[in-house]
Amino acid sequence: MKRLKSILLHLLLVGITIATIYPILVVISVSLRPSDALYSTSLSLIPDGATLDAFKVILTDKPFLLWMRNSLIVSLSVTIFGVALASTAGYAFSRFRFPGRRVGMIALLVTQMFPATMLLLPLYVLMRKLGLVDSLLGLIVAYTATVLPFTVWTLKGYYDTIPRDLEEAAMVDGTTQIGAFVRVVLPLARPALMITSLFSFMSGWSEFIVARVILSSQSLYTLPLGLEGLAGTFQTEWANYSAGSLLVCLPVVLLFLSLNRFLVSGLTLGGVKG
Amino acid sequence: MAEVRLEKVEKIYAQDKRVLHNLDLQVRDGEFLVLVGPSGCGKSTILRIIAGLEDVTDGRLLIGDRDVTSVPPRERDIAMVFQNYALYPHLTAFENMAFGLRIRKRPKPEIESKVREAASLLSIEPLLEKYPKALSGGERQRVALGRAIVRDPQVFLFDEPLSNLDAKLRSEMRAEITGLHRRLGVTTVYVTHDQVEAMTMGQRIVVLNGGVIQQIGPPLEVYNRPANRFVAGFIGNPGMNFFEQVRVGERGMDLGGVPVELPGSSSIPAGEFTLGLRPESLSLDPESPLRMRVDLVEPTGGEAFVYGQLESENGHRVIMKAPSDVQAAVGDVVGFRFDPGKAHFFDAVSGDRIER
Ligand SMILES: Nc1ncnc2c1ncn2[C@@H]1O[C@H](COP(=O)(O)OP(=O)(O)OP(=O)(O)O)[C@@H](O)[C@H]1O
Ligand SMILES: [Mg+2]
Repeated sequence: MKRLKSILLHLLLVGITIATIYPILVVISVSLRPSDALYSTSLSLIPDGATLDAFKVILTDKPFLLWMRNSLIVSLSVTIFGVALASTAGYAFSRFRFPGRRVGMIALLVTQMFPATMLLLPLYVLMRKLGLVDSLLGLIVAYTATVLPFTVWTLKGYYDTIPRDLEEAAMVDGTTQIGAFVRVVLPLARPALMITSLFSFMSGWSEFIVARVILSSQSLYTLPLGLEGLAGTFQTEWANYSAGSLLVCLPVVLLFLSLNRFLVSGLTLGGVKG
Repeated sequence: MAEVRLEKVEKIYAQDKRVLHNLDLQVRDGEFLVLVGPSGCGKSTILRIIAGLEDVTDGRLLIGDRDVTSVPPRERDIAMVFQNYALYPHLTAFENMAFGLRIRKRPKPEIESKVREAASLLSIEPLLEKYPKALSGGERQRVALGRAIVRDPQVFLFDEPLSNLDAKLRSEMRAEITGLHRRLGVTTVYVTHDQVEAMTMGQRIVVLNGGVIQQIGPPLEVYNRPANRFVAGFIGNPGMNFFEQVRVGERGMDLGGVPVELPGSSSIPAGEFTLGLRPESLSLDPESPLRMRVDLVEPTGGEAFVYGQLESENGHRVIMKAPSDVQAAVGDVVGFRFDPGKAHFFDAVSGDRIER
């Protein structure tokens, strides 16, 4: 009985894994096709006459590296600003009692209830007034603002699990309140800081709609915008498109792999902490 | 080393919750003072006020001759040991102990030698590279002690530091902490609700109830001459026997209808009082007209506690400490007497001790 259950469970997991991986394999396969076999319906994963031409085209003939640079600027800035603001705001919400604390917490939560598209128009108007339309800074501000509610709540929740005694011990030992935060609370909150950093980075890396609305100069395009440009109106060079997609994914995959250790403990945050 | 003085301290938490009212307390230079009292009486609050972790609503706090009422904890030169140890989980035992010195930017060799010295004093040298989660409760407690010692502070504060340890370890650590105090001579305030700790460790003990000091004095004095009924009942285990409405006259008193001679009773004004008798001042006596019905005999090895009820109209509860071979069984009615010289009298209304 137990054995049967285990077999069924594994079959299910294998099925899900294949369903997840297969499309990616197809993309890899398409990216390797020579340009004369674009519409091939062959199902073999490594196509006949496999070539890296598409990658070469993307990296040399298209402004891919420029898009990558823009995306990196935006995503890294969002990560740094976002985590700096969220780690301190979350600490304040967790440790201090001040007028507006409850209202502030709830307001942050409420913003999460609206779909991002609904915020597009007001966001655009706001950016116009601030003179931030068509600038990477505008995009950074917009992304940071959208990730903050989630990151502030996550960090506040994590700080809540860190006993206050530790900070009090540190303050008796000679630190200021801020010193206790930096030397004791932040190191202990590392798993939560990792997951909020990753979340902030990802939200900047893969976002399309807001970028489309705010940016118009081609030189400021981020990866998702640039990639979309590869899909022509009448004809799309699928090999190039696939190669571009893979290159976009690569940094994220590397990031996930290197932070794997923290992710496992980070994703179970808010669960029972032993 | 310094004395600590609280002057007219008032503490009101949010929602007008008054915890301390007009509290005066002096901890002498180099003294080991124990604060003891039931849960919620304000012991931790007093300690946290001395540490600076809690503001006073009114009043002053002096350490040495310095008014530190509004000085932040880091500038008070105190060290505190918390009930749950509060070791920094991300630092090794060594780094936990070195933390305060590093903050104060002391030179590396000094930090190294101070930590090693404290570690050898507490025999935890082999544990220095371990993280707190790899230490047992007793070891964590030692590291927490070490963290306090290396700071070389003016005052040590302890908030129920032994309550998470098992009984054997607790008595070991009791001896260790008093030994440390004897050696270092640092002014110490120690909070506990365990009266064994209070009796064995304190040079003086402060009995608190509801944020009000009931009595301050050396342990034996508090035990032998409790200032009021609360102290009498709180200190001592099992607790003192109380007999309400005992009429005291010219020659003696009337205990549940039984006249008892009381030498020196003339010094007590005639009237009705609460009589208090420690379990150890009672003993079995088949001849005695005072009788009790036994409902529980509790042998503890070296001695036995006999619980029963007075055979009289009001049936007061009586607890007697007897030799372990005591001849009494549940249901028996036995006679007992007590040493009238060791009887305590308290005012029936205020509960204050009546001296005689
Ligand atoms: N931050 C706070 N806000 C409001 N009330 C508090 C606060 N801290 C303590 N109190 C109240 O003050 C009273 C005294 O608390 P305190 O912690 O000093 O008691 P204690 O004597 O240390 O008790 P215990 O033996 O249980 O530790 C209690 O009634 C408690 O509920
Ligand atoms: Mg307490």
